Amino acid sequence: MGDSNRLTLVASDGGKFVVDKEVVQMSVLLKNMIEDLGETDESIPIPNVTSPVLTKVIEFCENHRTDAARTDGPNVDGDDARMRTAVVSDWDRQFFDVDQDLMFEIIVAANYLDIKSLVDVGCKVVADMIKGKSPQEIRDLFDIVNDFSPEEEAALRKENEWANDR
Amino acid sequence: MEPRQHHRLVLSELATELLTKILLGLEVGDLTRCKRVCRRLNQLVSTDLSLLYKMELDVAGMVDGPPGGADLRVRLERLRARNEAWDMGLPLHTVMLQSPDYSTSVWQCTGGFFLYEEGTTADDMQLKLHRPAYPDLPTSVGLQGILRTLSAWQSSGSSTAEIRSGTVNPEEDMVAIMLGHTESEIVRCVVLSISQDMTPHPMAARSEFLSSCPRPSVPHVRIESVGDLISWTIPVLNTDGEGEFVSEMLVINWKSGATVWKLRGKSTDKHLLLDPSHVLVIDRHGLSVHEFDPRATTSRCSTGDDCSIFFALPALHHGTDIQNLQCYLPGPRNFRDDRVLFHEDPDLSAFAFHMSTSTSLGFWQPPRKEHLIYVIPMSTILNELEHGLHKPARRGGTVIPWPQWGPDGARLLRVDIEPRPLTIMGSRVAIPLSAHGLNIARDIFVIDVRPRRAEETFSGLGEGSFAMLRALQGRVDVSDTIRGLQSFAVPVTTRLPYRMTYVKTWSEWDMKVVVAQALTHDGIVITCDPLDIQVGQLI
Repeated sequence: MGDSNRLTLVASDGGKFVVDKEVVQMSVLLKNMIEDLGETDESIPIPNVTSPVLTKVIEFCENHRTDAARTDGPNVDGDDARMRTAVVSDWDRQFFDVDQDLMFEIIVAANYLDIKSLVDVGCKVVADMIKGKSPQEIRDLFDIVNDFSPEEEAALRKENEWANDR
Repeated sequence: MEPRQHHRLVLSELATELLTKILLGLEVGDLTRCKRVCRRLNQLVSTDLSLLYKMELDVAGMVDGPPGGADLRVRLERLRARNEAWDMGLPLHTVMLQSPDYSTSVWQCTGGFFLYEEGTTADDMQLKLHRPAYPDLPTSVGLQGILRTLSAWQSSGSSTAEIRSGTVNPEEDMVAIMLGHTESEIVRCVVLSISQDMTPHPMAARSEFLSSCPRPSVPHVRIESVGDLISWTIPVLNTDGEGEFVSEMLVINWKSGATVWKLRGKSTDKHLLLDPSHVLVIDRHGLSVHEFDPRATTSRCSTGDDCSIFFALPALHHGTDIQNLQCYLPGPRNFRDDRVLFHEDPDLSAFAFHMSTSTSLGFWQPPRKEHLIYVIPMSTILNELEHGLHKPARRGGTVIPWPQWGPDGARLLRVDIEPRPLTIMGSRVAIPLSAHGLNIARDIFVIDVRPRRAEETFSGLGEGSFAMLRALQGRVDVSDTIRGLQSFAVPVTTRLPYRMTYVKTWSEWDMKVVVAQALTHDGIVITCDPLDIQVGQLI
């Protein structure tokens, strides 16, 4: 007989993860799914997320299970104000100290699973990486191809000169 | 199982929703640089409403208001109109004075509130409150009930009460008015309810709060109100000395009636309420932070040695005297239930004070008069209060010398003509300068601790030098105050994205004479002399 407080998640590559229901419920997608299913022993497939990514996502949710109630509370300041003032904690920063591929995969998975706090922290981490960098530094950092023509680039540089540009 | 086709995730290929969320965590400078990275980012930053709104907010030094109200497109349009009004000086609001033939006294005109006293007949003055940016709100109409209160007060006394000062505390639905009894020379403060038509506020512990000593008959009294507190600085006669004037600084909890803090200083000393438990005392040597308990039931007298932090000002030359010192704080802004679309970023707010100095040049020459205006970001004081050493290292507190005021620092302006009262809104300080020999303002300089556009920014000349700005009348010197800072254009380590000063000259071409001005939520308020022109132009 399965533990009614635990669930099995199956990653896209078949990896199985047994997780507390409480932890799973940080994902709005899974929370709704569990409510629809009712009491069941069936495992839940997560077709878009690979095992390494799911491992990280679960790690995050396990660590943040206690503050779930807090983030659910009414937010009078509005999203923008919170984004602005939110400081990424040391734990979160360490958590995202992974290679870029995994970092983006975690953010995409969090978005798919609808785990707001993980998406917020992930976006904040990426934003912090962009801060203060020149366009070329941003391209180098994220492997982005410069698809502007030289003329377009010159025009853009001129147009945005006021922003203390380099 | 089929091997998963591994496509490497690239920032610029993330879903729009996620990419927007990432970019919303950036400031305007970073966003404009992102526009130059690739087409996708360029397109997103140039067209996404939430990003455009974010950039416009950053440029204005504003933050989004509470959720609710108008949608993003409307907010963006309003914000753009506001920023344009600042740039172009286009009027957004115009208010007609009802009785232009009688004089008008403006008691408070910052923060979207315009508290003024207007005469309708020779001996009938009415106190009115306007909120030009919110014409639809019930609180925005002129309130005339004050007349009743004043009459009642007048009939109880033996002489005529005149308003000496007033302040609006919208959070508490309250207006505090200082009344001077010309004969008894005791200043009284009445606390009135705005919503109840200027009748005594139901929460007030007393109908009147009195100054402890007689005061000399000077017209101006400083009063402000934050939350449960009212505070004032008034010159009084020192009862110990021989008719010497001193500054009485008081903080009163108007709901409990207790005087929670009190200090006697030199006659030029002033103080400001910093937050619900700190005051900032300003004298010629510097700014000292004093702590008090807002809920204290017994009066606490402070001494100069009680301060926890002391911010030292540059020493004045030997032989230089302070003749007058005036302090200015950002005005109140909103009522508690207001759903404003956007408002000034509290992290960027500034305060200012103006010192009139006189330097003796020997008995054969007239003294040299100079006006020093200090513009100080609130963060300079609050950061130190929050993160600095709280335990005073010595009597008189931790001393912070002028060059070490922290990354946000302060600004010092030297003006060679006496400025009219300053007004402050968010990060902007408006300084109206009179024409020589006239008691009216001809030019209004708006100093912003943030820049707006490159062509509007002002580059200081670095250490030891002053830049001079040409005004139609008079002259303003702007200097940065932190030694070693090469120019305004080079930011030092600071939270502020830019560290520059923005100055705007205002000239009245068509002979309108400006008697008062204010910064509001939506721009500058200009009130024109009612004798010459019959409108108060709210810009």
